[in-house]
Amino acid sequence: MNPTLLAVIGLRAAALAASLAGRSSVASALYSTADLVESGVAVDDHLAEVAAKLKDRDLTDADWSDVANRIHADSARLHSA
Amino acid sequence: MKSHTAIMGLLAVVALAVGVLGATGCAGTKAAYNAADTLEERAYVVTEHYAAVVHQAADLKEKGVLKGAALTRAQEAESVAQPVVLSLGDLVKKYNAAKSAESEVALQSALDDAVRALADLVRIVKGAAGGAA
Repeated sequence: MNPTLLAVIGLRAAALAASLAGRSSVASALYSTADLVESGVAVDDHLAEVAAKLKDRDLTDADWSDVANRIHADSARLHSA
Repeated sequence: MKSHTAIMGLLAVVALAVGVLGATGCAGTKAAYNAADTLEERAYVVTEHYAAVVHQAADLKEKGVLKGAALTRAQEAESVAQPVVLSLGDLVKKYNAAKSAESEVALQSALDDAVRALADLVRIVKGAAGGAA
């Protein structure tokens, strides 16, 4: 199994244990850390796909348009109320 | 005593998780930067990295992990960084069309600015859960 996935499972298990022990602030911090780790893995996975693309073929205008569109969409989500 | 043991257990899990993360590192990120042989490809990797971090920040905001002062800092950093990062595509087109020293300097300069702006955003997002990860 992926070691990072194991770490995330461990963090979530620890968060659950903390929650059951009545330590909600510790549980919340552990859940947040697990979410942060998972999202960091997603960033790294995405860049692994970018690496594969660069090895596979030349860049096109469509690649630049696509990434710009994603930035606009996610920026809107980040700034939304 | 039982409570003390439980806390030690939690700390052990967190230490293990941090250790695992340190050992696994960020192989995909390194691979992308290593795969970029040209100025255009380096600009593209920085733009994709930025896109992925903005996506991550938006997800963390929706999960309630990125909030309060950290969210405000992330929003401010993103507002500063976005025009710099999005300028890279146009500068690449100009560089590919002209292949001049001037266009190369302009692209390299914007790339340096984009990397700094990206680093600021990454620092803020990684600090969202109290400096973890």
